[in-house]
Order: sequence, then C-alpha cells, then structure tokens
Amino acid sequence: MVALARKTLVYEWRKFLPAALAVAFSGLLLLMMTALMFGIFSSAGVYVSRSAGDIWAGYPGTQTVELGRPVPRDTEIWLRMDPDVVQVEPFQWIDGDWRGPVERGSVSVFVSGIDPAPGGLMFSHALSLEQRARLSEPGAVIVDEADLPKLGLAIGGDATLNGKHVRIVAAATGLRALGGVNIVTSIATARSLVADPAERDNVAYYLARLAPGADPEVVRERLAAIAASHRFAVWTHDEFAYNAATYWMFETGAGLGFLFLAGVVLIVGVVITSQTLFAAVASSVREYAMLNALGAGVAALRRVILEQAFWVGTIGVVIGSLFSVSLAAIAHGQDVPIAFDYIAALACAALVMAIALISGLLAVGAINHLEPANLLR
Amino acid sequence: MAALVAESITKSYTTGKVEAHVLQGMSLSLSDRELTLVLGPSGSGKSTLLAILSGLLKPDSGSVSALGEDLWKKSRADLEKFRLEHTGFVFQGFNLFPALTALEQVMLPLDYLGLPPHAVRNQALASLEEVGLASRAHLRPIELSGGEKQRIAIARALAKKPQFLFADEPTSALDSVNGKNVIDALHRVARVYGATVVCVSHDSRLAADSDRIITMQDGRILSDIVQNGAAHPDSPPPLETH
Repeated sequence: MVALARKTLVYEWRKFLPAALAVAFSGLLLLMMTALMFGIFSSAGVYVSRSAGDIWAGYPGTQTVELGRPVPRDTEIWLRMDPDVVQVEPFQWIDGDWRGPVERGSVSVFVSGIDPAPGGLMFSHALSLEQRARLSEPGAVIVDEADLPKLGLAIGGDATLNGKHVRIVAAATGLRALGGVNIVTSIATARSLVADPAERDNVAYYLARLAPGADPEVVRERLAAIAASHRFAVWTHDEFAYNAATYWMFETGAGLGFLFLAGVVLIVGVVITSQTLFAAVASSVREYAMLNALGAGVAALRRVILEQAFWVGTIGVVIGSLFSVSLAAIAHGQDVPIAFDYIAALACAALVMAIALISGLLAVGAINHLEPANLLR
Repeated sequence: MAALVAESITKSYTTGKVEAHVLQGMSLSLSDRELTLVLGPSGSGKSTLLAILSGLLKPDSGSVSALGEDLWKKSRADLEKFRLEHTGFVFQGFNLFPALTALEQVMLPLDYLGLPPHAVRNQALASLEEVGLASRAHLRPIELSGGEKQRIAIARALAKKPQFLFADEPTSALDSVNGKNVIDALHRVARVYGATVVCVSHDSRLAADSDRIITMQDGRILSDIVQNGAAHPDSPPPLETH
C-alpha cells in the first residue's frame, strides 16, 4: 500500500506544521494550567505533605486541616493501643491574630503547635533539627520565608500573637499554606495562646507513626472501627493530603474554573487545528478527486485524512511535550508553584489527540462534496 | 462491437436565471479497440459528454450503457466500483500527488483494487515501461517535464488495464512532440489492450492519429467520420450551416 497520508505529511510538512503547532500549544496550555493548579493546591496539603506521620486522627468529617475541631483526649490512647503504632504526637491548630509593626495592623494567621522534639513528626520535612530546637524557647515562632514581607518583620522580629509576646526565631521554606500565614510554634507556646483555660488542652489532631513494614491502609481500617464510636476519625497520610487538595480545588470554585478554561482551550484548539488541516487537505482536493474518478471510494479518502490528523496529533504531542519540559525547567528555577502529575500529563495528551482527531473529522468536510466531474473543463 | 452506448442524453446547467442546454438529446455508440476523438470549440458540450459517458456526471435524461450495464441506475458506491474496475482517466491537469514518486502515482489506484503488493508493483512498472518512463520511476512530479507528467498520468490510467479510457484535453499543456507521444500512447491502449478510448480535444492535429472523429457544436454532433473517410453509420445527416 502506498503510504499516501504519511508521504504527503512528510513532503508537504510546511502545510501541516501550523496544525501540529496548534495541537502542541493547546497541549502546552492544558498541561501548564493543570500543573499550576496542582502546584497551587498542593500547598493546601502542606501540613500533611511536609510531615512524617502515617496516620492522622481528627474530628469526624474534617475535609482539610484548616477545618479541624478538638478531638476527645482519649484518642491518643486508642492510637497507642494499636499494635502497629510506634509513636503518637499531638498537633494543635488554632486561629491567631498577629500584630507586628504598627503600620501593618493585624494579620489573621494559623498557628500550628507542634512537638519540637528531634524525632517529632509534624513538619519534619520542613524544619531542620536546629530550627525545631529553637522552638523550645517560650514564645518562639517560625514562619515561611515568603511570608516575612506580609508580616512586615525579619528574623528576630517581635510581635504580639493573641495578646502574647512572640519572636520570629527562624524562617523556613515549604510552610506556605493556602489562604493565610502559617505560624509554627511549640505546642507549649500554642497552648499559652489560647485565652480560655478550659480549652487550653484541646488538640485538633494526633499524628501516628507506624512500625516499619506496617500497611497504613490496614491500620486505618482497624482504627476506623474504634474511631466511629469515640468521636474521632482516621485517615492515611496520602488520603488526608488528597482530601485537602480536592477540597480547596472544588470548594473555592477553582476546579470548576479550571474545567471551564480547559473547555475553552479545547474549542480554540479544535477551531484552529481544523482550519489549518482543512486548508492543507483542500489544497490536494484535485488529486483526491482524481483518485475518486479512478474509483477510490470517498470512505477510503477520508481514512487518508484521518490518518494525517492522527500523525498531526502525534507530532503535536511530541512538540508540546518538549516545550512543556523546557518551560517546567524555567518555572522551577523561578519558584513558580507548578506540580506535574503523570496521570494529568497523560490526560492532557489524550485531550490533544482528541483535538487532532475531531479536527480531522471536520477537515474531511473538504472532500465531502468531491465532484470529479469538475476536473473536466 | 459497441462497448459504450449513450441514448438520448440531455444535460443543462442553470447559472442564475440563464439555463444553458449543453447536450440536447445526444445518442452515440462507441466501439472497443478504437480511439475516438471528440473535437469541438469551447462550450460545444464535449467535456460534459465525456463526464456523462465516463460515469462522473449524471445526465438529466437518457441512459449510458457500458459493458451492458446501465451506469446511471447504479448507486454512487457501485459506480465507484465500476470505475475502479473498468475505467481510466487522463485529465488536462495531471493531478499527480506532489509527495509521490512516478511509480507510487501509478501504484496508488492499483492498491484500491486490492491486488497483492508484488502484483501492484509489477503492473505499475510494466505500465511505466509502456509509456517509456521506467527509468524515471523514482522521480517526483517536480522533477518531471510536462510531457513526462502526462505520460505518468496515462500510465496510472492504464495500469489496471481498463476497458475504457477517457482523456480530456490531454495534450493542451504540451508541445507538439509531446502531444504526439501522448496521442500515440492512447492509440496503443486501444490497439494493444482493446480498450474503448475517448479523447476530447480542440486540437485538430490529433485527428490524423484517431480512428474516428466526432465533431460537436452547440450540444449536437456536427459530423462523425471513421478514419477510412466514410461517415459512421450512426452519423446524423449533414446539418445545414448558415
């Protein structure tokens, strides 16, 4: 079989290049949107993703860390009773009112009270041992570097938090939360910030570390049976991080906005790709008419065009991937919050192939009314 | 033997409010092993006649019978199949795919016949041999002269050994030497393969190499002469010209 579709594509590549580029840039746009969205919303799960615990226990129905409510104190006991649990630590989570320099007014902040011990689980991926040690001083807090300007202070700066004096002893990276400034302190300091003495010992979460080799899913199921009747719930580390990201994505409308934008990209991609593909096909319409006169059926000719659309899509995906990789490298260098996920990348590739094939179906219109009789003049 | 018979075919086109009667009840029968030349000025209806005879254009009324089958009673798919199996075309524009070599141009229609790959290649090479271009088989259209391109188009048309070969102004883009080569090739197709060859042209130089010459004017046959000088039995009585 003479490979008409491929040979024409190679020989007349200039005609087909715009279509392949349209596919490539649609793919690039889709992938970058996805990566940005995952990048931004993965900071919603920063409390979870930057910590080491395998199991989280919290108030039943909690969607994301920011929505935590106090859990019964015996929760810690139930966790410790599980044979696979080797470490349990409390995580205090309270709202705070930050007053730094006078001209900044007050800033709403989230206060994370953690166990500053060297083997502590909470924020173990974000804080160095030295930083943890400094949290042991009463009133010591650590914030994300990027939040320092927002607070109007440098390291060593003093401020008032819920009416108590605190000092920024260090700045770390990777503590940035979505929707507010994250202030990390020791659990002792956090307790001192709670005004009502009756609520001082309330804890919103407990983190548990499991023995090496234990399956978190199995432990979660075992604990869930107990939790249901004791007013707490348990999640695995990955599950809780995922819940946080999806909660923010859809609760804030950003997820819907993203889907809407993806739809727009899809339509724009199809319009541009099909137009350029149509023009490329239309330029060969006399040759197709000749083949039809010689008896090649219109269906066979349509297949040639769809095959060309398929190759245009494939080339577009390859070009788009190359662009994406280079752009991602640049973005990482500039601290742009992007996160790649191979399933999302595959979904983007599938969507742009769909753009190419839909465009192929539309470009078939160029030969739908093929009249070989018009070749006679 | 009459391989192609047209009876009372009419065709008119409407452009705006003007209706042009291009063919006005034409009847005609064409024999195999003959090269029939249809001559006439522009607008005489000769190309329309060719389109209708070859199964490319449906007449308003009348019938066309080829190999005993009524062409215009067939569905589009059946008509495509009939053309695939029995009909070759050579058009004024060569309509070659720029991306394909001469050999591939000729192989392409054979592929659609469903022949095995080696048969496709052998038949295509033999056909290029027939038009004297076997040595140019690997070249693309851009590397070929006009005359060579038209001979490739002829090779493409006759590779499947069609019973019918229709040519529309095949020499109009060519100089006299190349034009002569092309008409010789068409003539050989009629003689060697026994095909019914119909060639439409306004180039009266081709008359010397034709078996039968039909002259048209205003949608009617003006004269119909077989090359031994006698009028064809189908020929209408001479029209009075003013």
